[in-house]
Amino acid sequence: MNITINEEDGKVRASVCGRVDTTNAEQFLQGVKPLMEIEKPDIEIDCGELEYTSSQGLRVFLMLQKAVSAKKGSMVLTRMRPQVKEVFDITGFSNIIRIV
Amino acid sequence: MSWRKKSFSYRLSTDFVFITSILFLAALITTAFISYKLIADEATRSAKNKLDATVKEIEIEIQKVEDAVNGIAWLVEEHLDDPDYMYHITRKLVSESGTVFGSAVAFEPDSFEGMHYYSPYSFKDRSAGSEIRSIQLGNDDYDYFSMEWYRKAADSRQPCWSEPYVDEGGGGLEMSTYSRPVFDKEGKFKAVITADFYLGVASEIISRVQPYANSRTVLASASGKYIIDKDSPYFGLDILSSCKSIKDSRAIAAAEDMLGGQEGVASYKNNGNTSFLVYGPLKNGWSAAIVCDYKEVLRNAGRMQLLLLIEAVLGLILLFLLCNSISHRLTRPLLDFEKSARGIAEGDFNTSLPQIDSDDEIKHLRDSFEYMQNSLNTYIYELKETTASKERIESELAIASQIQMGIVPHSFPDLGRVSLSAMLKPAREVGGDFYDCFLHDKDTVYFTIGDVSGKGVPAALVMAICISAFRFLSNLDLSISQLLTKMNDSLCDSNEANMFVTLLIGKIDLRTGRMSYCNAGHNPPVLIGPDGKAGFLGVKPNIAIGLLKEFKYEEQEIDLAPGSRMLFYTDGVTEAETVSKAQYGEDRLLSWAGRIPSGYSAEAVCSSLYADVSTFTGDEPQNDDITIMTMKIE
Repeated sequence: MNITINEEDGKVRASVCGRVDTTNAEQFLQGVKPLMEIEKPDIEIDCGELEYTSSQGLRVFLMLQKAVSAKKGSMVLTRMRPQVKEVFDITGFSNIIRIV
Repeated sequence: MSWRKKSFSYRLSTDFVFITSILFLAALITTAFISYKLIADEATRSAKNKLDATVKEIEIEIQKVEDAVNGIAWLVEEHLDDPDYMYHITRKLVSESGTVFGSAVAFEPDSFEGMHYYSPYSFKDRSAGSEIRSIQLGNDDYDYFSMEWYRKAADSRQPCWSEPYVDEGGGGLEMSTYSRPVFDKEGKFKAVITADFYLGVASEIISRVQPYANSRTVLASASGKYIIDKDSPYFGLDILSSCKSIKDSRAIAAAEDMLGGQEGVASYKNNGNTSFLVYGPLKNGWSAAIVCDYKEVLRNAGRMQLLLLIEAVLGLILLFLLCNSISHRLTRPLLDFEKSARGIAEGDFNTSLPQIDSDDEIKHLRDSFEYMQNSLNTYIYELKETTASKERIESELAIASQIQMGIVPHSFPDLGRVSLSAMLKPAREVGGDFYDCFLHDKDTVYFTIGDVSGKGVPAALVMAICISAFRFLSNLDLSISQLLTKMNDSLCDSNEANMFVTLLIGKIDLRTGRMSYCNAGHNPPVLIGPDGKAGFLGVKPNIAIGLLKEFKYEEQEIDLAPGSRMLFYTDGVTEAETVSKAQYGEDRLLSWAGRIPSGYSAEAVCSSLYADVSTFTGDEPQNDDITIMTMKIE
């Protein structure tokens, strides 16, 4: 699992690679902490290289979404692979997190 | 005892003494070399001085002889025609000079009528109390014309000294004769006037000159013959052949120098000893030399070096003992530290440390030891705390696991038309899977299967909340969707940790086989029809509970035909992985479900699926709870 974050013109682009599971969910949480601390969040997360996420990974996405919503910002996940998208769909996360 | 086993102080002392002795030895060798050189130089210089003094002393004696002859020669010239007067002259010369032993005036052959030989000679007769006697020397037995003392002066027309000889006629003494030619008024050579010099005088002077015990002072004539006591084995020998027998070219060169009237210093090897030779000329063509072994000269210096060496050895022994004792005293605390370290190693962290009064490295070591003791105490204390807390957590985890396993039912009531089976295989850590199933009234069965996000005690707690809420709310005669909505609301109210639960709840009317169900983000169950065909049951996605309060969950209904089977599961089944991270997946699940023989009981289906998943994952340890619940409608 690997996270990279770039900021340009107030818009934050992040990308998540690999797998998020029990062993590294905490590391993933620490990795996205900077995103939660943005004043006016305008975040785009590239999930093209995200291979798998467990329920702990979903929980991190949920916490991130809540933090963004609390600041009236926006967050969108892009290029999600079908098998990952399916997990978001089944659990209903697609209803709370914008995925394009 | 090997070297390594020797004590530190012993090794320190020996190293110290070893280095010191090397330095001392180097100093000793250097000073020996320099002092030997200085002493040798001084010895040759002093020998040279002695030699010069000796030469002067002998020259004075020689001068006396020459002066006596030269002083009376005019008388001979005046009375060349008066043969008898010559006796008077010689007697006068001998009597007036203490140094001159004898004197002759030897005339050329046939200088007087009827006398081929004429040579009046006066000498001190030692047998007659040094009374002066006179004789006429020349006759056929003593043909003085061929004698060296006569020949040399006659031929060269110059005064000269003869080679040393033993005087046969005048008392058997070793002599050298000074001869001076005498000329008449026309300058014609007429006679030779001589004076005999007793060489014992020179020998006596030389014998007094002995700067070193084995040194020798020698005097040599112009041709190199030793001027020495006639009883000496060297008498009659010459210095060049002596030097040649030494077989060192430097000695021969020195001898040749002496014969050439040079002065100088030479050193050479003789029988393994190095000797030096100081030589210089006398004004009458003779030469003198002092020869000495360096060994003799350096004897005292050698003694001093030996004394120094003995002092050094004694000093080094003393140094070793002192050093050993001092380092012993200095390192004694180390032995105490060794005891302390052993005490600490055996677990006594409060073991006493040696008292150090000095403020040096040993004191620093003691401070470090003290620091180590304190650190160890703190560390062990913290370790105990951590271990205790870890044990507490582990026991709590065990309790959580017991809660999880104790809260789900392990046997099911007789439900008539519906037979039911379920299993929960927790992963190594406590997971958050759960299932439940109970008879609400005689015709209604409630069931649920779910998965709490996360693992451990938090997941176990949330799971316990869910089952409690489900059991409580099922008593309120709510619709399935209302029940789920209320569960969601109550979970959202107290969800600071952002936990969420995917679950599916439902109820079956045992009379009609009608099933109402509501899915909250959980995996869709598999329905196997009476014909054996398997497919996912259509579910509205809704969303997992705990995420959005007041979310309106929608329920669905289906009539279950006799012979159909339902298969509920958690993502522990579909996301079971092999070593290479391949997942079991929904396709494999459906394909397996399609192959289930219709005769399998609910329990057999349950264990068969678990076996299939286990076969798929192989040796890879299970990383999530696996929960399976099956129903069979008769």
